[in-house]
Amino acid sequence: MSGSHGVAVGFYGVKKLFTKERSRLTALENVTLEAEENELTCIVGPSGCGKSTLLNLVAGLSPVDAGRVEFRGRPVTSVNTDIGYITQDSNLLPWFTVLENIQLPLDIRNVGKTAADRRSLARKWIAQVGLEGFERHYPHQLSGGMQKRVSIARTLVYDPDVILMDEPFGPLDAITRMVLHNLLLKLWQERQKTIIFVTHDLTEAITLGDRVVVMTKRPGTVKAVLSVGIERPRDAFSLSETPEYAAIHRQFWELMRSEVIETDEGP
Amino acid sequence: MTKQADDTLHIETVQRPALFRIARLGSGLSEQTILIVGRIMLILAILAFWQLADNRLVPDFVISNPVHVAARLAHDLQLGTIWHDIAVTSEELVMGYALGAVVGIVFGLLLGLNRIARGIFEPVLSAMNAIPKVALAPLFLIAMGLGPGSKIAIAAMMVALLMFYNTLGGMLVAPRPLIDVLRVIGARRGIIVRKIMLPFLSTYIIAGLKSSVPLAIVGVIVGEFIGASAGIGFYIRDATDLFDSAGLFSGVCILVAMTLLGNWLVQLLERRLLRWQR
Repeated sequence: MSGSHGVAVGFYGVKKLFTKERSRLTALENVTLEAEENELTCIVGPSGCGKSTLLNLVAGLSPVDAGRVEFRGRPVTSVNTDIGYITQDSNLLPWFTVLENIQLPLDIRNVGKTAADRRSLARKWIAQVGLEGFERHYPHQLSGGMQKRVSIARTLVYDPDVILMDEPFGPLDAITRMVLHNLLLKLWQERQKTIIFVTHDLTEAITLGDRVVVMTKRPGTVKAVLSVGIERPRDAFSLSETPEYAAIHRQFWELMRSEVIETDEGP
Repeated sequence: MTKQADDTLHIETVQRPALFRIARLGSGLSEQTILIVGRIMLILAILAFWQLADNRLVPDFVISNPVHVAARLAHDLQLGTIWHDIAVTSEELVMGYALGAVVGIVFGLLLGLNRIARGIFEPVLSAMNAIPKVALAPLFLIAMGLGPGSKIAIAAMMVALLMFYNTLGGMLVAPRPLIDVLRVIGARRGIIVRKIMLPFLSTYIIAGLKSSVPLAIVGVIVGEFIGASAGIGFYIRDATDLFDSAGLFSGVCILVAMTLLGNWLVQLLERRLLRWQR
């Protein structure tokens, strides 16, 4: 499974408009971008640059206005069920327990022979994300970080080859973020899935990514694609102290700075 | 200015210890016990005031008194005629409530699912909702006669409109992101309705069912006031015609008991359906 090469997701001249009460907003303009199989591609850009929209296009939740989005060489025309999508909010079903939430995708996709198989697979993933003992808790009884773990497990449990992540750690505190970065790095190291990770945080992008795509402010388009040459396996806790990290951060920040500063001081 | 500020501070420092003392006084007992004892004492105080006010502050034929009301209630319940009234009113209540709830929920679901139908029906339903429903009660008596049918219809209409709006309200704020997440996982419409829409709506439906209990009782009793040959509303009306305030209050007591029973049943349902919220 791992080691297959090629383009997992491709955007070719993509344009996306949002119409709201007669006013038109260009969210994405002429985006051309390819995300390779088995790589962790991070997309960084200022808020409102259409990063999340890119993921919705891959998921087939909304159509493009020009250009095309391809998934493994085929254009995306309807809801894409070959991917896993970890959204910005955890989006757990509040009326289901942790176990039920994680088992739900297995039931929907009819994975495994019996309900008992699905249950034990769900339990395995609860252990993977460190939530043993919380199987019977409802989402509102968990902290934000724990809800994130559930939402990650709910996606990884059905083993999609391509995973989209939309600022999944955005609202968490710095320490919880680092813990979850390490968890994600560990899981990625084990399975080398194709991941497209959207964030507005350059630090996060460098910590996690093989490649970093820098987007411009709205209308969003690709400003640069850069390789992160930092060796794996990485450790989220100590990475930021290394000199190579500092060098890469400086280099990327030069590119991003104009976008961010213009956004802040814009009209 | 400074003087005033000083005064305020002074008052606070004097009051705080006083409050702490009261808190300490009760510290041997649990808060639960204090609440229960406090409530019982409040009710006893109200009953005592009522008893003392009778024929002193207010004439007896207007307010009667707790002792007379209790005696009257015990007498009527033993004699047995009131059981027939209870049975008639209960039947009207259950039928009207159930019919109204089903019609309201089904309509809410259908209009929630279909935007065009919603656009067509909404204005008329809004207009209907603007009418004080009790004002239509006499119409139902003219159309359906003095039997239970007219009371069931009044209660059903009131409950149905409320349940319709609650259900529709829920449908309109359906959690889009949750639905999208399940679609990407591969869920079809049936699964989305079962795993998201129904559990999500249960909050709205339960809230509607709660407010519907007193509403249905108002509908039935108003119907019985206007014209009936049996039922608690009829019993109260009968007592009123005779300036029998003890009888009136006995009827009210029975209505209170019915409301409490209804609330308790809805609460049981709530506990089952909304386990995930606690």
